[in-house]
Amino acid sequence: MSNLLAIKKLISLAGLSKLLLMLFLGFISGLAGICLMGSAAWIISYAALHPPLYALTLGITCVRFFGISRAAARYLMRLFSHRLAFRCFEKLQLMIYTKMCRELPLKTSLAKQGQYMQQLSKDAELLRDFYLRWLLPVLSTGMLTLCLCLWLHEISPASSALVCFVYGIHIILPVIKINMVKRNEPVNIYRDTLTDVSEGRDELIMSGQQNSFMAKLDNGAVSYGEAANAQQSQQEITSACLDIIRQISFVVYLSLLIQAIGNGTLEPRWLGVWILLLLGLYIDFAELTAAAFPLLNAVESAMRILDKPQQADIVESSPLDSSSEHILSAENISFSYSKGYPVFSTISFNLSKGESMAVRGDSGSGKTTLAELLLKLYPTDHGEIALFGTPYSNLSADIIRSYFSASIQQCHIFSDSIRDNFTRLHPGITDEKIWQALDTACLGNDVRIMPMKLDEPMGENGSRLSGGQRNRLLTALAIASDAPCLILDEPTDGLDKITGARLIENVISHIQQNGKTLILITHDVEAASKLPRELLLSQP
Amino acid sequence: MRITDVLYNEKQAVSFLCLLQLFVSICTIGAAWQLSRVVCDVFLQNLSLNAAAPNIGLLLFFLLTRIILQYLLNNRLHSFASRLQLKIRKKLHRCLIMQAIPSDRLQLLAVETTDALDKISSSILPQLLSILVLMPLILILIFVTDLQSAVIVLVTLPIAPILLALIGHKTKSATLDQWRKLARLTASFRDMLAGIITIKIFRQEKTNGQRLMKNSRAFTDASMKVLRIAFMSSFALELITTLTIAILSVSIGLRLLYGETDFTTAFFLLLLLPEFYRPLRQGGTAFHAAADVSTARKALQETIDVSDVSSGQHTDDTLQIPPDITIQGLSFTYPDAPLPVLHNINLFFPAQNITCICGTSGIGKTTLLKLLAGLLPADNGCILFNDKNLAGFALESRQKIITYVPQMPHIFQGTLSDNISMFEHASDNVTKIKEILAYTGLSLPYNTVLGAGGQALSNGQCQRLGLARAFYQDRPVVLLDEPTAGLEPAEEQELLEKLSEFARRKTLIVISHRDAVRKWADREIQLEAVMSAPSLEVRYE
Repeated sequence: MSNLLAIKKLISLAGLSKLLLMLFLGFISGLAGICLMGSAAWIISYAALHPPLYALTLGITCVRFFGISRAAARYLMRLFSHRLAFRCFEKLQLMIYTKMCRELPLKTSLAKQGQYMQQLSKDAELLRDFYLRWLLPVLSTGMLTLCLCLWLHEISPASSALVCFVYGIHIILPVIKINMVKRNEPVNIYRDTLTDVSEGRDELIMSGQQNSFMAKLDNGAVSYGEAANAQQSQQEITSACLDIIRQISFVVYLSLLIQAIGNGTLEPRWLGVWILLLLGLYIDFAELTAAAFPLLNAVESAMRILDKPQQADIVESSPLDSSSEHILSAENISFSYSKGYPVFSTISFNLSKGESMAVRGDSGSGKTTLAELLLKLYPTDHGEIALFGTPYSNLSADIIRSYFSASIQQCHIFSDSIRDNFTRLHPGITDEKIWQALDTACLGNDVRIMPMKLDEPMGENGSRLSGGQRNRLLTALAIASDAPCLILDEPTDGLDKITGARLIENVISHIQQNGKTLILITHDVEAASKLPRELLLSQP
Repeated sequence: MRITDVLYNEKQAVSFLCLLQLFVSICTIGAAWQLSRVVCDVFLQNLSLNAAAPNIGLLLFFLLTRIILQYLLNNRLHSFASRLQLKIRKKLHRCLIMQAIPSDRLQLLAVETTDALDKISSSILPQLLSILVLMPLILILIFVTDLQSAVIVLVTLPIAPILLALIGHKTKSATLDQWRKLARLTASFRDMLAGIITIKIFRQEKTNGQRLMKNSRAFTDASMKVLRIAFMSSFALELITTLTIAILSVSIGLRLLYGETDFTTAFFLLLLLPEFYRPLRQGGTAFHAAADVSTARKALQETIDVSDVSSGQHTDDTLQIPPDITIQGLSFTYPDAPLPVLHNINLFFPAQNITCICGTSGIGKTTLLKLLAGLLPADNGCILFNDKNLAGFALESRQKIITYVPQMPHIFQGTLSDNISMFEHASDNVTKIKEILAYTGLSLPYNTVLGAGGQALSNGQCQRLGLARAFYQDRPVVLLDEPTAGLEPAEEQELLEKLSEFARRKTLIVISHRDAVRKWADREIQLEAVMSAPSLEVRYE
């Protein structure tokens, strides 16, 4: 049932009228294909009766016409159907973007998050192919079958019914068969084992047990391969079954036609024509089988992309009372990524407008997580954060984030250029403001000596920058915003002491000039000491 | 690992495949012959169904035999591909020891990229076999039965490849441009997805959504430009095929009209023509499959080839343990990094001592520890264990001497006991592991399942697991990276006491910024001081 629903949604995504046009083109191309062979058979059969030459003219014209129109129709169908599929692909890409905007960051590990994003991108590609390889061929072949059967019905009703039945089997059998195969489990185990090796590589090598672990990996690959083989052989058996059904039905069809000749409903010289028409149709049927196997995956993909959000963000935004004493307050908040393992012991604090605070703690004590909670990237498990006295649960994420600008460790550097990074996050920003922000973050001089200055390409996630430069760019991106509350996550990481101290000084004078509130996440005691208040995180 | 090489190594399998394909081809031809005989019997001899039945039966026999043989052939092809895939995966696993591959790239290589080699068996080889066996066989038959048709086929056949080459040549640079553009747009799409969290923080979901749409539209346009060229080639192939069939059917029809040939032969030829041209028409798909396979092959080859760097071969049993460790003029730069992390470092770690390395984060403490473990190769300088260079040690020797516990011990899928012994299966394991568990205060049953899907460990339990691994290995040189980070002072003290006992007669080097650890250690090294100091100058507590 859910399969049908997914297919229905995909059809509406493509647009019914466009789909119908594709269908028509597919039908024409299929028709021209089988008619080419049919008219060739007509010429030969008729010629065997030695009629006058002019009697063959019709056949000769037909065979040439269908020969050319087959190639042309097929070309047009491919062109237009691919354009349609790619247009749908555009919509699907936007859909996965919107979905990810809603769901990221996940509470799982970064590796799992990457896997999830990869999966969705692959889903979109799979669905694009679904239109091309399955939906359009199934429908246009169906139309072709229907036309042929209507014509055939007058000659031999039984054989007409037979052909319809064979078409139905070709749609239904693969769908039933593939529903029974599960390939996911071994591949997930194998993936997890691969992750283990990649992330625990150092310990594995030093332990001296790498060989016994290799055996484990190899076993993973073997059972993954076996699962793939099982699926493959399931497909091959299904194809073979359909082949047998097709060939037997062909022989039955032949016998029925011979009977029809005996009954006088079919002229003998049409026998060869009907045989070649059916053989042409059966070639299309055989192609349907191969296309049906990725169908289950496509349906799964469709479910992943098209599912509705489980809970809508509460957008009922009560007006914020900006005269409230505390811009930000937290009361006994706690949070855990996996149930029962809270990241830090409960936190409470109040922060007045213009007041600044350092957040310290060991690595793994949840400093960055606190920033993510303040930005409502995750909801708290217990306790409540409030903005101007209004609890977060009553505020939309959009309103909350409008009060913040932040650089956190999950932040990404876009690969195009420095200017591109600024204009993406601050549309309409002037070069002057960019330079100002860069200078405050002590990065201006580094950029001035880059060959292309603001247009310097950054590489994938800023890979052309050093760790320190990357951090300073993130700081500059956050500073460029006018939001009243600034969150900086380890801005001095990877900087030498002098630059680090200068950066902190610059940031402090920046927030004092603009009346901003600063939350500085750092393990650097010296930097933290420059701020009036300190919040120390500890593990539960 | 080229496909041709792989085929060459499996000569027997390949000749068997060819033989199967030969029988399949014979069945195809036999079925076509039987069918034309049946049609001839009914149409020209006016035989009834009963009279034609024997020939129909024979036709069914050919049809069904062909299915069975084709099934066997596909099976063979597939098992051939899956053997190849397993071989490649195993090779890839061996590479992991030699080089670090990020988890997501490794998964991509081992799963998706290797899976792409399926196309060898599903698309490339079947086409190749058809072209090599079926096409010549049919061509011979056409020659034997009808010379004039054979001449037409032979004349039109080379037009297809020539036309393809012409189109390919004319559009080559345009296609390359578009491919580059596609690669750029795909990268840009991924870049956008990777930055979603940043985009969310700055509330620019909408504006970036619009950029994404523009990007996607440009992707469609570029793809369509590439596809239009591909479809043009298919159109040319298709047109030649259909026109040849049209021309042949007319020429055969005319000769039939003048009684120069008989109906059975004519119909037989007509049935064979589509079979003859099919491999050619599907050549486009096979061509794309070959391109995919070659991309996958290159990606795999790059990874597998890099791993042929050999480490030291020196196995030395004469090393006096625990050794003094001396670092002389050591420098290290990460690949792609503009500046060295460590530059000209000189240090000395005496045996039977606990040395604590301190310094601000990012200064290279962890890098130094990895260099000491031999996990990273030094650019310059050397590390001496007594007077022997670490770089000369074989991996097996290092594994007997050094224990390395990283800052965040990785938890493998498996039981707690597997995680401590690192999957070593010794007979006295259980008792030994139970002792260690009690000693390190890891209060979990030894057979608890950990890792993905298993029980999660708290930070403190993770640290204890790391130490338990060190206790289990019990080697003379122990390298610990922040073993007490995130622990309560009381917990920390308890662990340090246990470590003191363990560290006797060992060379123990620990990274920590915790005061308790610095006090506990015999000696302390401030890495900042060493970095600026020109010569061997270590600050003693």
